[in-house]
Amino acid sequence: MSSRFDQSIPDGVLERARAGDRAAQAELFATFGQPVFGLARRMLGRADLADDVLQETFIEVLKGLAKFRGEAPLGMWIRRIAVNECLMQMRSHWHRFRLPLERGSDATPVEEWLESDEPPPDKSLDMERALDALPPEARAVVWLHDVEGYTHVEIGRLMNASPSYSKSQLARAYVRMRQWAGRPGEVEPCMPALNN
Amino acid sequence: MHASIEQLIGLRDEEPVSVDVQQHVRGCPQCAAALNGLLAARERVGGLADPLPPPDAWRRIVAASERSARRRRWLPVAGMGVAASAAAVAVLFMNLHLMQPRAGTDLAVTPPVATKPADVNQLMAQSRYLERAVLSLDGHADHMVVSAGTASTIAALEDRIALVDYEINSASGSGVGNDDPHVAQLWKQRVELLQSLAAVRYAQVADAGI
Repeated sequence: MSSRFDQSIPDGVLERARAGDRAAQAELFATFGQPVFGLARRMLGRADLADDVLQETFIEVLKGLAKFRGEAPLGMWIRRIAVNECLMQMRSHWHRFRLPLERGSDATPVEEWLESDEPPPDKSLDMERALDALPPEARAVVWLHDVEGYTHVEIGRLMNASPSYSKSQLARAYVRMRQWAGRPGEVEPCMPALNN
Repeated sequence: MHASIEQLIGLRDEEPVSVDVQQHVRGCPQCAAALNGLLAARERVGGLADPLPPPDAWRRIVAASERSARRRRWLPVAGMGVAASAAAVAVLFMNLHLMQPRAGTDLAVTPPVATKPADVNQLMAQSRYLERAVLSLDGHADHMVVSAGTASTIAALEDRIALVDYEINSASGSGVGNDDPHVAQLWKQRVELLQSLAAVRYAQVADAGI
């Protein structure tokens, strides 16, 4: 899965940016600013918080460029800083009311997916809204896993939780979003049950 | 028994899933339909475009980065950093009080006043600035001994801010835009509460003699 941070920059830009060349630094921002803002907006669900993350991330990037050794691609290094900034926002005591933690770990039955009575909304507009309406950690897991390609092990580590916690958050998120996900129509009765 | 959503997501993502589950999903229209739904959902989420950053973002980052570099050069001693934060909050207060005179020092949220939609961006910027200023003091103030009264005041203010945040989030989640007068009023309340919280935090630092 390719990440939105998987972008290349012209030769020499990194070196010039390291040396403090503002034009080269602006070029880095032009390449990675939108992915950082997009990641933060999707993970945090609010543009003003994403703006904060964007600013803090690039301040860290500018500060840390001299120490960046190129062991990972530049975009992945910037992504790591941005994800950490998002998680710091989520952990902030300021947001404890609006970022309730869901620690459930039971397997989510498929019936929850199938039993929605809600009318299907306008799908072209509402996936974004559905994502924003998720609990923050579930939203973050969806984005990190399904868009940025993080594994459940990596997400668990980032969130100080287990891989199954990440799996469970992802499952619950999709159950909540099922009406936007293209629900199947009428289905035939299931075949005889099997053990999992 | 049907597959769980976790198992279906495992199948969707080509992760190891037991053979029994794979066979069941192949033969079960409901599980197969749910699996298709999960595939479609992943496509739809992945298809969301990244929004553009605000147009002045880079200019603000450069300015903040230069401020930060200046601070690193001139304030190498940690204690001086606290003093600078306190001073910044003090100056901020003076500015904000000059701009928005307030009566009394009680914690009550100011009664609703008509707020122009055009003001919301300014309120959001004020809110961000205040929040960052207060957070810069929090780390230091948290180590100080605090009277029960002060602690209770801080907790009450933080709870009120969190409740306002919750309302802002709910409004945003239900599709209400920033041009809605109720949303503007919520941002106004947030700024006022942050001003009060910053005042308490500033007093805390000042009392500690820094």
